[in-house]
Amino acid sequence: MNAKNFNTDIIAGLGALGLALVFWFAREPWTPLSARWPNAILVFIFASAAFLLVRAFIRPERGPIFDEGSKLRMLIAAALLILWASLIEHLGFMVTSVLVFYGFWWYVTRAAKKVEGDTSPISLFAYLRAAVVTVLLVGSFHFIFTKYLYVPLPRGILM
Amino acid sequence: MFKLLKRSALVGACLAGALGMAAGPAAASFPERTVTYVNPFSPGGECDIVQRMQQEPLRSELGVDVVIEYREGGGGAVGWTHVSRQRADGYTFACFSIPHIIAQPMTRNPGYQTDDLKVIYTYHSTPQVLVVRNDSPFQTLEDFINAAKENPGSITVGGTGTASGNHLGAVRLMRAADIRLTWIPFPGSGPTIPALQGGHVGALMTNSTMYVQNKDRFRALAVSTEERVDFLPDVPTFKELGYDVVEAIYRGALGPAGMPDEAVNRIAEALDKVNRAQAERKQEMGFQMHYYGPEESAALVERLKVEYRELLDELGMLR
Amino acid sequence: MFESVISGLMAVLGWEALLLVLIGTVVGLFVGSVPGLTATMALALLVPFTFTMDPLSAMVLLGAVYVASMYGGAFTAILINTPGTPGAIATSLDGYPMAQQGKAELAILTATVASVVGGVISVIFVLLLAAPLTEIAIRFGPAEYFWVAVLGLSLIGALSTGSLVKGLMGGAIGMLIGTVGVSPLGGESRFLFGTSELQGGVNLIVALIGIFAVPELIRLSATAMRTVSIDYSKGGEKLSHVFWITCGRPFNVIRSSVIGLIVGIIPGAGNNVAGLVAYNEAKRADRDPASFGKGNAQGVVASESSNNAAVAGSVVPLLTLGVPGSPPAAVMLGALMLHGIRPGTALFVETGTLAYGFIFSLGLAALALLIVGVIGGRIICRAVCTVPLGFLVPTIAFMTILGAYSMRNSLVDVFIMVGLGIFAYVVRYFGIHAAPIALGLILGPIAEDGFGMAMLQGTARFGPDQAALALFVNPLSWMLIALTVLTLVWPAIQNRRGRKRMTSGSVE
Repeated sequence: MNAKNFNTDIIAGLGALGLALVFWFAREPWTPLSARWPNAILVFIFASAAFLLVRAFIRPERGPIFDEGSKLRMLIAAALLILWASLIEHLGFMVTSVLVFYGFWWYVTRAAKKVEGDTSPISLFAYLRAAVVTVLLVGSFHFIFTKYLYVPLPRGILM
Repeated sequence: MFKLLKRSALVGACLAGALGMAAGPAAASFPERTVTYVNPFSPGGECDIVQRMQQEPLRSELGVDVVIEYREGGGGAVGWTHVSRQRADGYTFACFSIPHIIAQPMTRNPGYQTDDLKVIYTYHSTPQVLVVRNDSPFQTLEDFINAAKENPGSITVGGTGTASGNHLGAVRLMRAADIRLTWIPFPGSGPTIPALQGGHVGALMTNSTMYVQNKDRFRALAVSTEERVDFLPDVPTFKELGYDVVEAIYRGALGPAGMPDEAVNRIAEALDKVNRAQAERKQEMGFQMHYYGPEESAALVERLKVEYRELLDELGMLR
Repeated sequence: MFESVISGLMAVLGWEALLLVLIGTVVGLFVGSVPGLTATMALALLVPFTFTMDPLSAMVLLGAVYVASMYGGAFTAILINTPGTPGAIATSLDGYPMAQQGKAELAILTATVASVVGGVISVIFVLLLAAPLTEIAIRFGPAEYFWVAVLGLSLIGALSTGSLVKGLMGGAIGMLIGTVGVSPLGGESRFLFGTSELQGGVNLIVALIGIFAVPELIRLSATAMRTVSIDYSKGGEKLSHVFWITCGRPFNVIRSSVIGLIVGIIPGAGNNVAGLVAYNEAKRADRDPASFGKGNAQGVVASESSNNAAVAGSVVPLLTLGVPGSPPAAVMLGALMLHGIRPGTALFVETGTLAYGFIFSLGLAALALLIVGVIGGRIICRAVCTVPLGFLVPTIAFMTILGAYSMRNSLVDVFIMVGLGIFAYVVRYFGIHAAPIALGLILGPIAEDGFGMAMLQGTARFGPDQAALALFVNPLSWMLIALTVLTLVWPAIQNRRGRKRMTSGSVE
């Protein structure tokens, strides 16, 4: 797929329309004091979405989308974040963070090597060093936050 | 300039005293580890001030660490929902305020029911005070009510939120005096002070603590208690002026329903001691002291449930 | 009064107070530069430690933490494009592009010097003019809050890089997200989509971490190339050069400090908006407004001097009225009450030493930033610029998750943060940028509350049919409306002038 420019007006217009519709139908019978403001915002979004959709057919703004770096790496980074958030409840903050941090390190290091054109594999020393850094970093923050800042980080499987 | 040493010696003496008292009835095995004292409001609020005052003495009373944990949001509902879902072992309890824990489940779905919570102890209340600016034409409550009768709805009264203690105080006044006021809800108690000072509202229905802090600038027309308040001897009650307005925001501690009696009583005892030791200081800050144990607190909740249901129904706010 | 000022100054010049200032600034710097640790939280944790101190020492310590954490927000804004405090949003607009151009350290040092100058200027003003400045806080009624929010929203036009309609749409989406949760005035729950978890609403800091840090993180992973660097070819940055940047154009830094001070006084709105307003004014006054947003150091100067001046501003209503201008100030009010001190105008008369000493200590804290900030800033800056990408990316990710969780001790917030972040990453490609969304999030609730209360006032005063009149009756409202119109129209005027200059230039 070669880099091409998309009609961003039509995407933004339709996206905003969809978002506003979801919120529009999630409204409840509130008193005017609570209802007036969200209604006004939604009407504004509808109007500006309509404007964009009209402009999309007359003189649209065009631009490349998702053109910075690898799309696969982009998806994986997003997926890792979601994974991180989801696992905390089950494995606890410490375990999840160590695992995902280490995975993230491996993935980004590999990618950076590829981008720089460095074909050598990651050395065993680097693996070990990263493991130590991961445990130390996550552990020290975990310690500071739970012991001194009284943040009740989920303990999960570490009881 | 720095009286650090002297001060800390004083506080130390107080702590030692409290500790000495605690040494007596140590038969109960609860608590064995750190307890969590949840604050469902933001740092700097009235729960926060009280909890920070109690933290140290409570620690010496209970003999374990007391951690204050913020779970703010939804006007306290996030915190109480959290507590209602914790294991009912006494190791997690929270600061509460009434009417919130009664009114919220009646008007919307806050994630908990009043009965999901076990009220442990009630430490104080802040009676509602109707205040005006010092240069206001209203010298007495009579002036205020007459003006409201002449031009219904033209007087604005400010306070925190809707269906809050401030609001319900104002509603009770409207009912008792058969007048119409325009209620202006503010997003917090802080902004109400400059609003009255700047003349953006005609009066405030506010907490006794707020009035005590601003005594020199504001005039209190009446206070919503049965009898005159010790720390406000010159302020008449609505009752003695002929209007049945009794309203206060009660604060105390609660835990999840189903806590063992042992834990409930232990925490209530500890809070009671701490509370009595701090009574003088708290009164100076404008708190009306109470020392309600678990039974009295539960009775208070049951009594107010009936009253608030009626008031909220009248406002058309019942769910 | 004069004796109080002197005794206040003497009180904070002792070694004990100076030590507290130093400790406070170091703590504050740490707090401010970790996304998700806020001044409010740090102060709340420190309050119990201040019980045993005398009131002045307590306030000196808390004040120093507050000042330094406001400044620490600039680090993340510059180095990872993530304003750690809402006040630093404007800092990221030029600070991050500077860092991308190899001027990371210059940007950090500029932010430091600007913060120091802003802090000192504002303290001088507060010392001289505490009483008249209080007037400003009192004059602000519901209508004025509404208009100040509208003025802030009109900055979208000036700040947005792409299409104006999309900028406004981003602002509206931010405001929409801001309505989730229990409505502050009506007390009804909105847009919970059947859950009780959302009733606490979307926390501003959580949202900011999401919409700024997550896109940066995804971008770093996707390109696998670092974006921020220090150009060592010219050697390290010299402080004298930084001073020249900041003070060489005294108008900018003084104007920004005064704006920050005045906006900071407005309770509830000040700290978050001050930087943006000053930034916009700097851009408007500059000979080359187009260079803003592309790494103009004057943008960093405006934002940082202003948001640090706002700290002193928010202390004015705290001391004179007992009204906290910001969440951290609310905690300080609590600390004062715990020490049995009643804020109010009497504070300056009865305990003048405390009031003036505290104000002086804010100035001292600002000066201490010069030492702590230059050292700490250099370390953090070099660390971020040299650590291998493989560590930088997961570290940022770790901080965002940890930060989002610790805001309210809630896993829901972690999901909100990640969700909003991915959303912000995607919509940026369609022309909807993070800054307008953030502006909407900050200003939406202020506008709503102001509007709602003003309409109720209007109903009482003018009857239900003409309630909206309440928005237009005060001279202060007119002033804010005029400023808004000016902000909206100015870019067009500037454009035309620019075009004329260009055409006349080509004729010659």
